[in-house]
Amino acid sequence: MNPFELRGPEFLLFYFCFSLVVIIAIAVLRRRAESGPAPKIDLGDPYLIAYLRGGENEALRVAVVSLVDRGMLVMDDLTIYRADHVTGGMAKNPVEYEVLKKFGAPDTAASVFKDGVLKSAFQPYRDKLENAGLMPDSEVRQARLKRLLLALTALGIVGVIKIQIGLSLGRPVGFLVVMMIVAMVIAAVSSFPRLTARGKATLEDITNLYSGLRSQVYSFSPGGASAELAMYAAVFGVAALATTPFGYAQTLFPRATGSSSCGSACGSYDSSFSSSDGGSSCGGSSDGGSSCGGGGCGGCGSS
Amino acid sequence: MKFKESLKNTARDRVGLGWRRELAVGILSNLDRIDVVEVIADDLFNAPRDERRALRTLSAQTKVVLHGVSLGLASSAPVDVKLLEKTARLCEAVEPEYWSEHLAFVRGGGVEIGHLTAPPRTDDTIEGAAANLERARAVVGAAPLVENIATLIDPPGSDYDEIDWINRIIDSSDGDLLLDLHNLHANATNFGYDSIDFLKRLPAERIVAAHLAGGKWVEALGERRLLDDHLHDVPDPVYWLLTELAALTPHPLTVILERDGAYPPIEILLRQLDRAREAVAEGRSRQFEQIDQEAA
Repeated sequence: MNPFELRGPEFLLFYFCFSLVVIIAIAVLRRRAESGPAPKIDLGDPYLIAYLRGGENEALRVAVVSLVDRGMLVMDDLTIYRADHVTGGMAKNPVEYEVLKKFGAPDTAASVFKDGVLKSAFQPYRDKLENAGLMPDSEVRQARLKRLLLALTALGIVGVIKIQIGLSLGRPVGFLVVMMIVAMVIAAVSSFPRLTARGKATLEDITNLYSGLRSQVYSFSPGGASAELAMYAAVFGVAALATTPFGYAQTLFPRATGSSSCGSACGSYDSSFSSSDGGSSCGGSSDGGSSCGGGGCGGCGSS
Repeated sequence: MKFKESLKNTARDRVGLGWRRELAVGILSNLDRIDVVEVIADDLFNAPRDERRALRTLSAQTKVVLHGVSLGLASSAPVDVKLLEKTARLCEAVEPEYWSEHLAFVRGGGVEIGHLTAPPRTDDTIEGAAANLERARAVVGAAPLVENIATLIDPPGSDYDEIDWINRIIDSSDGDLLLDLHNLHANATNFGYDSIDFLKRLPAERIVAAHLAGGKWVEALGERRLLDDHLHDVPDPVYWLLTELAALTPHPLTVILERDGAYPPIEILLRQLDRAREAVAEGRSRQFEQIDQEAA
């Protein structure tokens, strides 16, 4: 059967199925190419996890909420400022340092999203996640582009040949043109997810490992379980704090959703709030001394 | 089943913590102070696939071992093959360094007791345990480490005391021993025997792992008994036993702190791990001194 001999509606159905197969094929190939064993990453760093899940904006939300909970930032209605007793040495990592530095002058919480220096503090996180194969690096992006070009070529050749045939026979081709554009747009959009398949699987695993926090969060009191709060916000999103004792997070970030691209160079990290350039590399770990809420038995009786 | 490496070839003594969801943040934020994590196998037998899969991300961060609580190996009745198969599948997925189970019976006549119970210490239960360990080895691919349990009553109908019963089971199987030091301490306290003497009568070369835990005093059958409840801090005598154990065993030890509830701040648990590390180090240095003395 020559599909180009199909009549208009039949060919449209054929082209729909063909597009579906092409789009699914590039998704399967991408998943296969980007899968891999579980990586070794710092699962105790809430900012790394927040960045993996929702990008730098979500990680910044987590940083602000965590610093407010620890009393290092003070909320005054919708404005935030750094508490008097806080010094740069109290920051656990470069991200917190930059956030604390920014709020030396009172500003709204949402102002962190417009601060280029803050965004650049996440470049080391991006690098770590790319190196671990959880976010696409240039090589992965190139492979994605190649697969997309192949898909677009296939969709384009089949569509254009039929359009030419239709035009030569004086038949309407509008529906086919629209279908071809829609198929190409879907193929393009689905070819570049923010995370690799490995990254998506790792994020699901992380959510699972920390699933106990979902019930624990209601037993935390503000200021009493800061490490757990930061991790809860990192794993489940700042928006998920709305119904918890940390509802103020919603006041700070009423539109919390999270996801963005990465900045560029790395900012500085020293113990005074004096300079924003200085060349030290940004690590990215947070320690986790913490208190745990109560809970049930892990399953072992008198063993 | 493929174990990551032979236990007895591990390079050094290791100290770790039982994985509990409530402790996830504390554990994953302090992996520089936690060498190994013990996961309760039974919690995952019927868990959704993604929950089991998450363990591979956990095992990419640290060493993982599996611990079972429901097989009921120490019984004249054959162990449930379906449970063994579930254990085998879990071991395939997680690739733990070892898996362990209790020398307990947990069901009889199809009725679940819901507790790790000390069986009568007889030839029947010795033979039954040996046969069950062989079944476990055949299905899972490696025999489990077997763990001594705590009991508030001396099992009626017993022909052997605990040490002889355990030794006979170990002699008749190729599984090594996971020695629960709080169980040993509790039984020694409750039944009036010397825990150090008990320890010295065990085959040191077969002890490759230890459990630490805490407990509380309770009234049972009109007497004061020490209950192993995993809800309290590790008491001093358990650390002393750990030092003795480290002075005796020729292999590196894997020491796991078990805590099942009333969770304190993670720093308190980490301090208990540090103290366990110190106790092992003290035992090892005594061992070396003894070796040096013998050589001299």
